[in-house]
Amino acid sequence: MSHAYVAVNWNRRKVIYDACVWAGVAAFVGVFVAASFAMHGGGGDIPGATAAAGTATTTVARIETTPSAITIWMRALAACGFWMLTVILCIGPLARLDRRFLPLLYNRRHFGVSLFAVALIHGALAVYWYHSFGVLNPIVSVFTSGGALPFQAFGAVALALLFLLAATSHDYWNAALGATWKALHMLIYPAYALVIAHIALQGGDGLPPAVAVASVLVVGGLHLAAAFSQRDEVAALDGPDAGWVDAGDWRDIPDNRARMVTVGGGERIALFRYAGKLAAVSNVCRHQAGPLGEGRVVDGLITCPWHGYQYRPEDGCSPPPFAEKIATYRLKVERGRVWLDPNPLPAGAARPVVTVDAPEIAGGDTVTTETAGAETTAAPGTAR
Amino acid sequence: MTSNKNAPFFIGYRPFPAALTRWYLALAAVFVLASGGGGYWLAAQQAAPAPGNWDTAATTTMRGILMLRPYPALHRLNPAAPGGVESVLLVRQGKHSADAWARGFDRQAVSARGYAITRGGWKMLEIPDADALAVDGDGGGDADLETLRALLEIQPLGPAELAGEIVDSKCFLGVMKPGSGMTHKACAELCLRGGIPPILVAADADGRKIGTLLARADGGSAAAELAEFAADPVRVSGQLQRQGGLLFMRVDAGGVQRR
Repeated sequence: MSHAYVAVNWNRRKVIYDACVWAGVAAFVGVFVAASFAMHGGGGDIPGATAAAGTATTTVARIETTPSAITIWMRALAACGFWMLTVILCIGPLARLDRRFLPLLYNRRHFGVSLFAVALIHGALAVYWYHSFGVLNPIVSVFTSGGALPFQAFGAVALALLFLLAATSHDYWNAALGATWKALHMLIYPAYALVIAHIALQGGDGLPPAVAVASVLVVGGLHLAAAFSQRDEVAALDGPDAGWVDAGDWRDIPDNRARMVTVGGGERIALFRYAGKLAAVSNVCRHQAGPLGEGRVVDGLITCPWHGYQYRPEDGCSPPPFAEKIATYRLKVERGRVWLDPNPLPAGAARPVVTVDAPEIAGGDTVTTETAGAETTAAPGTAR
Repeated sequence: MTSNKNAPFFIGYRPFPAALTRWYLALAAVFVLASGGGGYWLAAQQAAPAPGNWDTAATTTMRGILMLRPYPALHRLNPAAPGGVESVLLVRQGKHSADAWARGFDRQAVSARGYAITRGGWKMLEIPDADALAVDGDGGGDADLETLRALLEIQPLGPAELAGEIVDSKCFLGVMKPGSGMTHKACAELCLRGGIPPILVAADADGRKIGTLLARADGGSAAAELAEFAADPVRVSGQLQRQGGLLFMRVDAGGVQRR
């Protein structure tokens, strides 16, 4: 990366996004706390020293009281955090299924960091309330108290994973960790599984288990639906014949968009049509492994649908001042069909770009044009 | 297939597509309303905590005879109490027994100062420091003391077997609401390891909740050894007995079984 990093590259939409997230948090926690005190703040009568052998009387006193405030806040934050985690996990597949959801994905990391903040307060209250003031170190108690499968230990590990994700959500770490970053952030799924165990092992005392089941069904269902939709969007091609693979009629590729293919079950490749030309690049954005083939060509640049990272079709390089590079592929057109060499060229490698808008090309000849050099630069005001 | 392929292409650092503005206003409203609705619904699913008081606003001073075993307790005459004796369990602040501080006062007339914890007919006093316990020179009068001592003789009530949940008395009686159940299990374990008296919360034949202190068969504290059973559904067998206003079960060896 060649551009400077700042903590958060704020713009108006990020402010609005965060305001909506925290309005949701405030609504959830506020209503939960207020409703808990309103609904459960009354009294009751519990027999005290009642004789089991039937020899003594029962002393019953009615005491007006309210639930412990710390318990209520702890539960409100837990329930809110689980709601946030469920929504966050739905954003990815929703954006795949309906592109109107893509703006939610753009700032999803803000949602994730907010989730960590909510979960951290929940965890801190739990350690203070349940695990402090005793004969054990509170952290030792978290991992050793509560039976063979202490539910809070699952929550503690999940919180540690959420911390890891929140701490490395910045683009600095994205660039520094390279491909590892994506694998690291897939830990959100183990964290989700740990949270589900955290809820299930409470035996219904905390969140109703049905809530966890509903969350799993929604999250799992959306992921399956998104995966199923991808089957229609990515053409699976047979292995290469003499180094070239028939990737279909170039006229089937929408202008300024791509067709995604896989060859022999390998990496996904995006074949873009733009300005009367064709170019094939890796489908994987260098930023967060977003699906470039679901993006568009904007201002002559392949633009990732997730965060707007851009690459020149000619050589797979981001325009200056950015320095990301993706692998490119060779193409040729014969009798209206586009042929792909599935062997990737080094990231950022220029190669002949196919021109297809000349009338004679549609008839079947092949024309290739050598890239004249990378002149495109990032649009003024571009700030990811 | 992906729907809305022709939806305006959003790029975060460029102006927001006007065609999506109304969609996102609706989505934001749905999210905030769903958050509030979810918060309300989940609050309604929470079981109402039972009433219990932990009065931390002011200390209370009580006088009576201190009995150390199985758990430190102060007993005093009270005609309105069952059997004419009101019994108050003594604990320290935090998750700790008052045993160490009470050891020098066994069977003596003492005054105890602390924060009252009450639930139903149960009473407990949380002692803030060792000086809060002191020998009470008068003790309410010699005649009363003799009457009280006579009433503190252990009354055997016979063998019993009860099914329920073992809780730590301090949280259950009012420090935490709720102070029972699986979410409270680790806390109850810590309290019991610290010597807080364990109570078996069970239901009698009529479904009424009954609370029984649990002690070892030899009459000593069973708190630490019962810690592992806290919050689990258990069946407990032993010998019931009454001392003053407190109901105990001396638990048989191996007398606690998970259900």
